[in-house]
Amino acid sequence: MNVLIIGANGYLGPHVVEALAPHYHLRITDIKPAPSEVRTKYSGHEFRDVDATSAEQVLDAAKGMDAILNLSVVRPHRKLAFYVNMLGCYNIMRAAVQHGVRRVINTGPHYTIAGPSYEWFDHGIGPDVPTQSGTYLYSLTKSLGQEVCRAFTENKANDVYVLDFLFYGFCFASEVKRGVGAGPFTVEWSDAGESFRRGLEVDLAKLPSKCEVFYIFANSPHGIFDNEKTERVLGFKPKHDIMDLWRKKL
Amino acid sequence: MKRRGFLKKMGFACAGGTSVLAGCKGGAKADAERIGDTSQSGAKSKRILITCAESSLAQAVAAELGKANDIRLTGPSEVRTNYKFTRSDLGHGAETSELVRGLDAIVHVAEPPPGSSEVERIDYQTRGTYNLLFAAREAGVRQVVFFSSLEVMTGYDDDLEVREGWRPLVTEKSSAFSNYLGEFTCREFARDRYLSIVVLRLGKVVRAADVAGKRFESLWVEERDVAQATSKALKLDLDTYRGNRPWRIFHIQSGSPRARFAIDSAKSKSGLNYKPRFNW
Repeated sequence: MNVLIIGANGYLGPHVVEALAPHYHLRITDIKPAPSEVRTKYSGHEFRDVDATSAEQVLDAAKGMDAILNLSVVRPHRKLAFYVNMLGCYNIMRAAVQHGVRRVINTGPHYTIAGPSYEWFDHGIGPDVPTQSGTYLYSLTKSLGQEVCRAFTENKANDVYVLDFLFYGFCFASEVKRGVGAGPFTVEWSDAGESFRRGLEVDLAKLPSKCEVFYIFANSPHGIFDNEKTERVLGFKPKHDIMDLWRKKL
Repeated sequence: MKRRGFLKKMGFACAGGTSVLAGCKGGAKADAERIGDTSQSGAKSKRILITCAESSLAQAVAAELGKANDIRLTGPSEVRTNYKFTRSDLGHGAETSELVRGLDAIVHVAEPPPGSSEVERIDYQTRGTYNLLFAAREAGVRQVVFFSSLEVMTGYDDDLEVREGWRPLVTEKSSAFSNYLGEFTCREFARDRYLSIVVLRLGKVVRAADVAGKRFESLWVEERDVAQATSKALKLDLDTYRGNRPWRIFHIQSGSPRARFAIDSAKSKSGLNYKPRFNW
């Protein structure tokens, strides 16, 4: 399987590349050139400089691919956040449709769907609730991007599926200690990378719809969010138990 | 000159020049009406910004609202008008903050410049709207009327009685895809309750004179009826429970029996009390 990764040189990208490199042929792209040591380590794969906001570059990069992973993100910049987080999705979906790429995995923070109006009030919040991102720039622009993806899947003429993987906090296994504490939506880095393998392997025909949202986090004690769907539909369960993060220090 | 300076200080520029707007009346009486605390209906005059000043619709809305309110216009390109005009691309800089300072309400006509590509339309409807509403929230503006399109609901079968609460049906190919994303952006601002936002989903906006003798289209709405609906949306009482709902949507088109969508909510007294005059 040929997999295009857009925004591969950020925080999450290296963990995704590490998880996928042994199994797929990767086209590793980012607006920033990959460091030389990364190019050496993954020399069997392809590297390109791709700006997600360039429709032409994205279209060209998607040629010959079987799946596209969108890891691109801009958080604080008032203009670029819209360009990358929303119009980047538009470019990716157009490229997927044009080249017949059936599988797109989009990413974002948990408040792409479940913003403060959920998180500050509710428990057991699943990924299929109606979108309430709030007005925080990062969340709203990612939410608009996801809505753009959804709109493409609503078009019956488009044979494309979108899986939206939502993350928030990350930790290394070595950091999982009692008393450290963590946010309500945390997963170990390598588990986060591994989740994309399940996204690439899941039978698209068995998904409930052509646009599905998944929460990617390890089990936590507080019950604010619910990751049951991720295990049930994707068959993904993080290997690392991070429950100690919420236990009292001895 | 002293009087002109006073008017300018008060935010008006209705002295001299050729107006492109029919509603900016000259003379002391008209000025007094706009400056004064009360309108003809007794409601308090509001300071209102109208976007997309270059559009015919914005000008029709200005003409209607200008009868009783202090109107300012903005748009991406220079427009000759007797109202106070500020050129703005609705960017995220201080100029947008300045644009909304001291306002009571904004009418966001949300019509991207003619000839915009789909990407530009999306950018305008989302980022432009975000910047405007963000600045409005910071400035304490209370009311926003946002113009969207009934095209977001045309995906339903013709024989269904589609209501405002129904889910918009859009794909990336929909003519109103960008309008839908604009609504999406507004909705999140309404949800945090700093702004009270009324969405008017408009049919195909026409001028009666322009379509005289033409074959009727079921989405038509006359721009003066849109102006009427806008005026009434701005009169929703913010201090009552009903008026304090931060998010309301109304479908606005003609009252023709051949019209595509029902406008009962807009016509009802608990809604806008909208009374379309152009019903073909």
